[in-house]
Amino acid sequence: MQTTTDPSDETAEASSGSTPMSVLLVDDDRELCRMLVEYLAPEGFRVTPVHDGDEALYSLGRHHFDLIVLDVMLPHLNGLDVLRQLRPKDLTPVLMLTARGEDIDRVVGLELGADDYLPKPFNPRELVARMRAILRRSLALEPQAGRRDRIDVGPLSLLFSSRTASAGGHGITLTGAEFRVLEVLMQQPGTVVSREQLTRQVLGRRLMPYDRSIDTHISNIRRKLAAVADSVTIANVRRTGYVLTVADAPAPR
Amino acid sequence: MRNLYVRIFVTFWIAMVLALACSMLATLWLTDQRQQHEQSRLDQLAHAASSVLAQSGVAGLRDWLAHESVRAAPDRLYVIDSHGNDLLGRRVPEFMRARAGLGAPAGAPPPDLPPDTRDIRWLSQLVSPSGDEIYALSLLHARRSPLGMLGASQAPTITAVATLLVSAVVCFLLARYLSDPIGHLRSATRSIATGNLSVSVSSLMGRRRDELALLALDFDRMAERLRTLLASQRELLRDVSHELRSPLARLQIALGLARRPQANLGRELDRIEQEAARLEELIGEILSLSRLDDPARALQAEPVDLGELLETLADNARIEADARAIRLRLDPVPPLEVEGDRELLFRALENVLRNAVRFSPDGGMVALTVVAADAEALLRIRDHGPGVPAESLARIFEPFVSASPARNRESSGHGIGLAITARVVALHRGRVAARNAEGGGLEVEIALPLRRA
Repeated sequence: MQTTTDPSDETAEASSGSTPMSVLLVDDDRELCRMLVEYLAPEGFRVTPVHDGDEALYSLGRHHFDLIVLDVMLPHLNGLDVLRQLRPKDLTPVLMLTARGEDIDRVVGLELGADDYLPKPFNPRELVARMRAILRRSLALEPQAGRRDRIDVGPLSLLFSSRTASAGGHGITLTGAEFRVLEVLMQQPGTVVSREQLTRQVLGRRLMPYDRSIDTHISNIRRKLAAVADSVTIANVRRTGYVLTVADAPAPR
Repeated sequence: MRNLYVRIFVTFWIAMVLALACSMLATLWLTDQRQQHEQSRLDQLAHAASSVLAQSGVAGLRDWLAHESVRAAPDRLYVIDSHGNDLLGRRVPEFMRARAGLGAPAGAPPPDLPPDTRDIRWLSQLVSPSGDEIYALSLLHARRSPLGMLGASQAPTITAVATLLVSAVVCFLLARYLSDPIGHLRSATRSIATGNLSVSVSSLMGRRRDELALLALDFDRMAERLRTLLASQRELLRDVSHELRSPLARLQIALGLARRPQANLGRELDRIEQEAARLEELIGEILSLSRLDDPARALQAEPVDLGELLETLADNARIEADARAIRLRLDPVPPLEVEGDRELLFRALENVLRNAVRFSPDGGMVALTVVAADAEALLRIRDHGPGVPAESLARIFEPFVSASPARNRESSGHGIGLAITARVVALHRGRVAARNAEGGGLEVEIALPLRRA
């Protein structure tokens, strides 16, 4: 795996982390957990390791965590089961560790509301970069003064206060990442937004080779939109990016 | 002629035609034979009648006729006098009476007679010794069955045409009957070749129970076996890649830790070395497992002394056991010999023994016993570790089955050793089983057939 993190970015983040972020690490490889705890501590993460799904749910019920790093392959209750029990009531950001080549885990995981994924084995620096990106985004979602409360495009409305979308009186439940994808696309309807730009704005990181995160989120959003607002479509433009269009209601230029 | 269907059809049809030709030739020859036989019979009758009349007169001829008529039945033998009356007073058919006076030559019926009289043989004219009475000796053949009558004239052509038609239909059906299931088998084979293993030919065989239906059943069984084999290979590959991933992930993090300025380099390098060794061991075991799976592999057969083998094993394991104050008890082994590959057996037993040591608590005990039972050597290796949940007991001999949370990856690393053991034991026609021993701990029992002296 190549190194992808911008070192200046990393040091800037590390210095800003005065209060450590609490992270729940769910992985059945105890030795790996020990090593990660050691690796992540100086990066500003206070890591609590647990080794199976039941233990993870138990810890989540008792403590607050800023981030969950969740291995998909777990004995008994696997990572996807944990995610299924967590969402939608618990919106703690989740970074999934998937087996390389097991695409179905990634697709299902993102659909169940994981925020991003990282194939295992991974470079620990890449792990840190992804954890930071997710945390940055989740902080950015907190309600802020001076921010618009909603965006409307055609029949589709995006409501920041409740982190939901609605169309024609029907509410749509969105995961955090899906919400941000829609936000970016609805800010500039009719304009092609490249996959690089979406990855940067939504996931807070660079587009990686073979990175299918954004595409998975888009296909999930399309499915949810089709059920309530078939006039709103997200088109794929020659594999360069995506554009949101509304039929019969010309998008503002 | 490349088509099996056409080949079967043509072959059978030609066979039918040849059979027909042969039978016709044979019929002709037989008819000829019968005619010759008939001729000599007629000659005899004529000769006998003449001599009886010459010697004994009309009275003698009458007696002879009465006697011969009985013998000739169902053919009828007449002697007709010049008035057209039979010598025995039987009614003479009109056409015969009409012919009698003319004194036609024997064996040549005149053409103006009805067709059913063609079998009248005029044997001879008999002249009484006095010379004033002329008798006609005549044989009327009994009417044959209609088919027999036909057989004499245009029958050969009709028979031939009928035979050809019937045989064509039968051959057509037979060829289809044989080639249809082969067609099914062929399309199923092709579908397997393209990777679709979920085929069933036997369901297409209808109510057939013949060799082709059995072949279809075998074919289905083969497809099923291929399916499970492929699935298990795929699963093994998945497991292997997963197992390789864990040490690689740790290796990456150890590298990350080592790169830090404040790193404890010695410790991280040790870790990296350890993970590299784990990877190497794992790959070696995966390779030997796949080699054991090779059906073409011939098992080396040499006498193996179990006592010597177990003592070497125990000595090796003691190095690991002593470090954790685990006592390894090997009861005295009776002189037992099995036949097989010493290397493989050593590895198989070592895997079990090392597992036992690995799962024993520090200061615990591992017991190794051997007894002879029937024609088998029973080896038992028992630890005092956490044991295995009952539902997983049967599965611990499958590759990569993590036996229990207590026997987790932290201490075991991977679960391929017992799978190797199971295959080696199976190669030696032995059995292996695991159970939770009374008082805690796992007991693995291996039965190996003893070498016949």
